[in-house]
Amino acid sequence: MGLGLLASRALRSSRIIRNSTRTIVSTPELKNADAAAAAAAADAPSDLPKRNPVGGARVHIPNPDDVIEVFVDGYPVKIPKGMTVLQACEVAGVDIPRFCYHSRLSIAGNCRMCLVEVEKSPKSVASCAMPALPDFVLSSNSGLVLLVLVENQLKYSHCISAEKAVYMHQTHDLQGPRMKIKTDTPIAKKAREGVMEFLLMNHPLDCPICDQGGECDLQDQSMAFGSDRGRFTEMKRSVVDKNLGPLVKTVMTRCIQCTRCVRFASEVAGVEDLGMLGRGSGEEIGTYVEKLMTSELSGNVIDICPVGALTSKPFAFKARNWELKGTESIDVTDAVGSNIRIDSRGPEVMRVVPRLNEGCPSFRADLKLDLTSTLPDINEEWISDKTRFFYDGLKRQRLNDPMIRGADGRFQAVSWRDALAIVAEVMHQIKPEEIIGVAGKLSDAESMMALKDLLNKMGSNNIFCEGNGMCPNADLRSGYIMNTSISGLEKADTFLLVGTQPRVEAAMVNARIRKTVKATNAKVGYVGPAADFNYDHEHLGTDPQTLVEIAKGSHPFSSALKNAKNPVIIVGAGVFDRDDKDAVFAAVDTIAKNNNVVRPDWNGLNVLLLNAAQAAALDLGLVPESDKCIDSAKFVYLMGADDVNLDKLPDDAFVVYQGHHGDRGVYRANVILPASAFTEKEGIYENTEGCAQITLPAVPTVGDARDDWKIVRALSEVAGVGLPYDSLGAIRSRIKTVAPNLLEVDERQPATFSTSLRPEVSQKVSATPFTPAVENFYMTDAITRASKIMAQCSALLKK
Amino acid sequence: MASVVRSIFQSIKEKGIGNFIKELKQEGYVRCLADGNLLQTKIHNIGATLVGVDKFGNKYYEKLGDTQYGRHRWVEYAQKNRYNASQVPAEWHGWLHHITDHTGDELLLLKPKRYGLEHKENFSGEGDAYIYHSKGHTLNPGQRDWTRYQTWQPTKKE
Amino acid sequence: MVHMARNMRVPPNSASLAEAKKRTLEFFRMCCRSIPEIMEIYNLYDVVSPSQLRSAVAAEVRKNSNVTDPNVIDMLLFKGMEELKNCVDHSKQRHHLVGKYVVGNQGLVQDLGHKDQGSSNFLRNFYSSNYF
Repeated sequence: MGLGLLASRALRSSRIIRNSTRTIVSTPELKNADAAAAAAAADAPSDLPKRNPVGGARVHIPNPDDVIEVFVDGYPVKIPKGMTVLQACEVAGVDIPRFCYHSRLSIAGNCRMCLVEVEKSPKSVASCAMPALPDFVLSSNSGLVLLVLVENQLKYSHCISAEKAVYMHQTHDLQGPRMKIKTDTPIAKKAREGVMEFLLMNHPLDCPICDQGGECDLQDQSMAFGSDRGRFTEMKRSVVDKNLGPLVKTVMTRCIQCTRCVRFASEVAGVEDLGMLGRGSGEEIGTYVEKLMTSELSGNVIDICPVGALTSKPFAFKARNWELKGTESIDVTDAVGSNIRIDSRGPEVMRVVPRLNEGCPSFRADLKLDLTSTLPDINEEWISDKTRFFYDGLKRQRLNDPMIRGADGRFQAVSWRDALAIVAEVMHQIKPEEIIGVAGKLSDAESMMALKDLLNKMGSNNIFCEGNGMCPNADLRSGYIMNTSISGLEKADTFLLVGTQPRVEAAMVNARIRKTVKATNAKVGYVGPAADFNYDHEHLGTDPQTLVEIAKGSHPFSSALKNAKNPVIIVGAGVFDRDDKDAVFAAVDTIAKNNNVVRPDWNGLNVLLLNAAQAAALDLGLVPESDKCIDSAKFVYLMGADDVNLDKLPDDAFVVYQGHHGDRGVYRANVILPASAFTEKEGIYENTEGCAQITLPAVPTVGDARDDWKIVRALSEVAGVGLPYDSLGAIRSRIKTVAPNLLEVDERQPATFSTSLRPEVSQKVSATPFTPAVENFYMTDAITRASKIMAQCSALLKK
Repeated sequence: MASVVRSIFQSIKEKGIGNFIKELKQEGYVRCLADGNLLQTKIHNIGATLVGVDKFGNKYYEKLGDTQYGRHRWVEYAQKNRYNASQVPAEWHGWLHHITDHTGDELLLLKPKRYGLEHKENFSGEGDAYIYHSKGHTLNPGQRDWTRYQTWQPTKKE
Repeated sequence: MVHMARNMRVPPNSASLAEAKKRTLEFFRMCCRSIPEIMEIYNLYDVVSPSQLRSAVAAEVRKNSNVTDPNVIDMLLFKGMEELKNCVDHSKQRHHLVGKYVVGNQGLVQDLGHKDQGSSNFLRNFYSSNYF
């Protein structure tokens, strides 16, 4: 036997020995428990450096008596009663890893990733489910007895009888120390490492082809808290993918059973579609029977899924998240103005996701914490499917060159110079009162201001915004905005919905109402055509007569309104188009007056608008001089207006269409001026609750398009009535003189005067039933109508 | 050699002299007088076994025994005037190069129906139509349009 | 043509301005002689004519007509040779030539200017681009 052989034998034998004691724990201190304990004890709380709360969280304590103090890694933290250990850690500036815990969902406590060590607790505890306790007394010498006392009351005992516990309580001094939470001890680290190893056991190693790769919680946390190796050698399990519809792609093998999606679907979206099937390693998320997920909020499961099990189908394999440039912007497809982030790559919008108020504490929902961020609380962190998936419409049917309709009725691309010259020439040949301007649903405040100024300089005052009706009431701001504010709806206890179907008109407002109904069992009364609700409601009637009955007090629902502490009335903007709208609003005002809906401390009278441009248009005074102006118009300037009814327009009228999509409006147009979409420009939009917000350009404009206000400004100069502003700043200072509230960006400006100042109306309500204002949730404007995904959705999911 | 002459006479008798000459031209016997390579192949073919013919008409021969090892498999191309190695389809390539003993006809059975591509010979130097141009090349008739948006087409009315 | 262009070399410094001038002319002629081949290899027939290319080269040369220092002229010649060699050797791609010599420095949108007398800065900028 040569020396080499000897040596190799020795090596082999030593390897065998290493194998037998092989450990994956990267915390060698654990092997010497005493030393580790000594090291932990050496942490004196006095000379610790200061830590900042995670994401700048601030504790807001409603009742000073309910303050308790706990120690997190030796730092004393004062928190209100009822907070969980995880939240206490976040206040203390420690970010606990988690998968199943989501601040806006109920607590499940099944992923076990958030395990922390609590002093004297025999086992590490799941911090997301464990409440932080004022007197956390664990008394045991043998480690067999667990006794929890809260305010001297026995709450929970384990391994011993209650009598014995009480006896112990009496005989021992159990007014022990405060709860001591430890998040970076060897035990906590080992617990996380172990949980991570179990999670990765059945997780496929397909990160390179996974769409979540790069923004995956499991990836990040296994890097931060996992081991560098696993001991798993068997086969991984695989799970059949589920078909959840055209929006959500599933790769169920990647699922780690955190049940966030199940909880989201049942708690927020209100569809009991998803559930957990099976047990143990056969456990899987599914719909039980093959079924599409029919919710207008289904896209949010993509965001809350911590792994790549639920990803976006339209976005699948299109881009990696680190290639994307995020631009924080505003959604304009409805009047809510959801805060979104537009992710773009080069000149393309790749996806839209809700603005995660990252850097803000994630558990804002339970109102225990205040936000340092000034962002208005509009859409929490959900967005509707329309907002999330309409973006492919931005790449289709775009207008990219100015065009003029020739004598043969065909469009011909021309230069801006020629197009503007023709428009200006025609404009001057027409009598001022025959010129009208219509602002579209997606117009920003700047361009509406410029258009109004241009028309006024031409001598016309016939300008309005589509959706506001022909004689809108713009005198009282409280008459057309949501006075309660969207987050204020959570305080309401009775809702009266008049001619509005919030589920299709404003999905995020509907989610708020549903949240309130679920939390406080608020009553919902609904007047309008038969509609789909995802919470309990009472269908009171279909026509305005019902309102008159409620106003008189003869309707059974009026007693519910009377008894309500914070009643809310929401009138849909579809009412604006009714002939008897004044009477309807008068009836609503009477109901409000009789039921104390408007008080100094509570304003429950709301109008739910439909379009992003409506509120700003009314603020800027886009009100036509006569409601019959279309019938006699000879020159119509459509600024992105596609849904305005032009049937009565005389045939010889000259129509200019300024917009970004070849939609309904262009077919009647004589001149097309290509404009930029909201993802390509900076513009102020006011949402339905009266909060002005700003969009930012995420991608460049297409072709030869220009920003809306620039086109109007250039046209004014060509027409010889130059507008006095050359820049966005200048036009905003002009807006400031008209509607200063539009410049208070991201801050809700409540209306000053209540609608009780409205003049008396003698009009009688008609018996015509209310009609649905939005026929197809997925296709409401030029962009969404151009979108293929939205067309697919409305074909598959609309009922 | 005598058998060769005998079979020539026999086929003249069967087909007549005109047809025989036409066949000689088709089979490249006329061409091989100028093309030594083809002539060598033709001589080599005498006494060899024809293992198979592919769909292009290339003939695959094998001669075991008194042939030098490594030269016992060869191909006679279907095209007599313009031939090159890229005309051999993939299924016969293995047999011809002693990678496998399965003939091309056997391997053809394994060819996947759904995504198996048709063999295409290399047309380098055969003119612009045969040159590969990348998807962004100006000379590619289907040059890719990199515009990331679709414009509205005014001709589509209503 | 190819071997001529391939073997071109700038000899050591010009002794005088006259020599530099002579060399410049030679260089220009060499460029002109390479133009047909450049048209061929970059497939420029549908975008430009040889005479347009010639005037583009001439414009490039004239741009430096104020230079009188023979050393500087030599240096410019050297750079010109380098550029020419790159073109002839197919070291460039079609869009390089199109961008530099066909479209030129003005860009595709050329402001004619004569109509805009008296219009404001805003309008002039508006006609050229959305970003100003």
